[in-house]
Amino acid sequence: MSTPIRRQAPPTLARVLSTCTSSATRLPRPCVVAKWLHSRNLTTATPRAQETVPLRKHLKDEAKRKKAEAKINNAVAPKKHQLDPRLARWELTVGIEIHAELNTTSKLFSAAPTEGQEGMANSRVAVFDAALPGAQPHFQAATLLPAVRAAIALGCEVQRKSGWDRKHYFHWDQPNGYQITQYYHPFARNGSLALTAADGVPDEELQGAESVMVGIKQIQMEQDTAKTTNHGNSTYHVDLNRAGLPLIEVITLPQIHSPQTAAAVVRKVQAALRSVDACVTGMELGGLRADVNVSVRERGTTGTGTSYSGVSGLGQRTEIKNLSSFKAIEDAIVAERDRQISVLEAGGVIEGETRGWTLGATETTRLRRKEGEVDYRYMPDPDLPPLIIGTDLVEHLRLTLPELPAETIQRVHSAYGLSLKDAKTIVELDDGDRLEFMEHTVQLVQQSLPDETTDKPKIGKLAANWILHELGGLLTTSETSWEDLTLTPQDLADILLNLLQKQITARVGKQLLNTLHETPTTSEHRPSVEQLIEQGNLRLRPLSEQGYEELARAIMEGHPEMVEAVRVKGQRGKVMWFVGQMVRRGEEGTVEPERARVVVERLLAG
Amino acid sequence: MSGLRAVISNAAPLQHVKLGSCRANALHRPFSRGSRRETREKGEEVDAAALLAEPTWSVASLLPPSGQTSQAPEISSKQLHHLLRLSALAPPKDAEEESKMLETLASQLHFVRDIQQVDTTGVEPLQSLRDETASGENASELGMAALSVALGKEDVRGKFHKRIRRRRDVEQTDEAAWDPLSTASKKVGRFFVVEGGKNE
Repeated sequence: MSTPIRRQAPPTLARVLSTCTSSATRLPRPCVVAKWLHSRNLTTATPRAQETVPLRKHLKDEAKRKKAEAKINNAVAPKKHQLDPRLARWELTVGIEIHAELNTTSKLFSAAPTEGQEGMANSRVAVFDAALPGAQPHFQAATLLPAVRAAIALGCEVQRKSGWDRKHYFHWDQPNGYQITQYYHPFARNGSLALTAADGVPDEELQGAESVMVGIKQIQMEQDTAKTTNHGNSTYHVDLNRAGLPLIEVITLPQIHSPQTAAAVVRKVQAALRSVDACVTGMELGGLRADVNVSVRERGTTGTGTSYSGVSGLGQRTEIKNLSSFKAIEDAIVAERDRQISVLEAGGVIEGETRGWTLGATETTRLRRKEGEVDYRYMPDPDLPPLIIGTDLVEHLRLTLPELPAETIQRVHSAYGLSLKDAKTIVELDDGDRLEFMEHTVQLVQQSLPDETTDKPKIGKLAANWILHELGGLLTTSETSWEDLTLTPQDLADILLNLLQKQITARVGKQLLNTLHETPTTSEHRPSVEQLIEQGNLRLRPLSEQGYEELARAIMEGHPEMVEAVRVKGQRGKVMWFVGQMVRRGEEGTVEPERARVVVERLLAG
Repeated sequence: MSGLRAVISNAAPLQHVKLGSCRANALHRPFSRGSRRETREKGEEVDAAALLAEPTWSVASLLPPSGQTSQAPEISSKQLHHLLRLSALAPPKDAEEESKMLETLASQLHFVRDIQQVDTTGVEPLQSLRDETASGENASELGMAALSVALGKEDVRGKFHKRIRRRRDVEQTDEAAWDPLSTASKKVGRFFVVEGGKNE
């Protein structure tokens, strides 16, 4: 057996290490640097008597110290979810209106493209979008695909006949002077959304139930406005590229009773719309915006008796417009709820008004009073025929609808044995490509295994761990994105196969992964996994029982204090330290951690 | 929504008014035929001059009667200003112009009330002239046939985890030949310029 290389700390830390170690003084941890040096087999000065402190231990010590300090200073740590005592008396009700950009090639009522010539303003404008006199709208049928898919994904009934209405108001981002929307007859009605604790619904709202149902009143198609930017005092620059882009407005019923649920609803809607390719730009890019309606009422009463679309007994509501992130939704609802409770408790009355929210603010600001409310004078648009959607199209889209995220997560959880959290992560990464990679890998491994005894969940768990952690780590350290990944499912399947058949250890597997990642697929000399194992002599040559014992004894003799810690003080965790030392000292590809642990435990006990 | 709707709904029914040579009973049915046609016999020569001498209907019937106080509620100055703001029309410069505007608005409302006398129970409002027969509707239905081109522009991505993705190859259309900025009076670079200040 080769003599192990002694790990030594660099000279820069020698001064630090030379000071006497005591539990009271804190020293910078040498272990990170030591690890780095070891991975490159470098040594400098001789090591000190102080052993390297594992990161976990260091962090735990830091946390203990902070807590002790806080106790001394009588500082009470704030509870994470300090429930406002006023909420015992007041109940919140929220309704949400989500505007999402549809994923189409052309705009809603003109053939102008939605993409292309990025960066050039006013380059995708048709005559109708610029509202030249006499220009007529022409409904683009292709916009129905994402719209109907969105309606089906959210469980709505698609109406065969729906209408187009004009909503009149003057603004420079609305060249026509009216927006074409579907006020009287929307194209989809009566959907619903189910949310569970995993989606972010707090326990107070679930109240023991599995899930909460939030009804969707309707979904309607409408036009987007132009983009304006402010330059100077009151000068605005207008870009009509976005004018006329198709949007859908999803209106929920006021059946949401906490801010976290509201954010969860918007998140879920965004995920569902993305999964069916209906709306692919998210909130961060401005493709999805939410307006929330907030009201409070005393528990057990009917508020001011207001009702909205069948839900009655609500208080007076106010609307908060243009929230553009999930955090903003939560914060704005909390601020508005607190403001309304304060006003009502002081004996005041809530006015129905429109309010705004800015990031980092503590209260919503009034945008428009009730008297200043605009009268939109809705009227059916005479230029457009009613929209008639064929049932054959709806059926076809329903049958070919892609899996919704909730279904995918359940499927992955049950078929591949992943935890719900892991399943959620892998489904959401890289637009579903990582899940595809995992499923392909698992299939390849299953095919190549000689017998069918290895069940899918076992392979699935292993593959998922490798894809999430090993591959993920590889991508981060080499700063590559998923699209540029050169590893194929076949490569990973080969590595996992060897691992399952105990031909290599996990460390060797990671090495192979790194090597394959560095060789591009286009090079002719790209070796297969088998070739790499042969060339590098990486196959597991299992150590004999005697070999394990010898190695274990050698380490135990070198560190009697650790032996004492386990034997006398009963710190069972230290056993793994021994295993780690054995793996490091042993030759590459010889020591198996499991067997080493068994041997070490036996020796330490005996 | 106050303003216009409130004013009209509170209106009293139109009064029976005699207007010169105009047939009184024609007032109740604004677009009714005059009685002259009934007296013409077959074969009799039509005296065109006599026929056209007397009007059977006058647009004056649509105006509020002069000298008689209108039964409609007054439109307040506040309502007038609200309506002018909604229509992006300039507010009145002085009290004289405002009273003139109110008068004009009152006579317009008189006309609208007249129209509203027509009984329309059970009649679906007409949006535009279109083929409303069943076959006409079926012809304008958007089904699989109409969407076949769009459906052909999508791909299915993945073998195990199938997802539909729209293909994004950008086609150059000829519509780009029109420059929207050519009609702009004020522009900066490729942007339209709007002065948003209130005192224009």
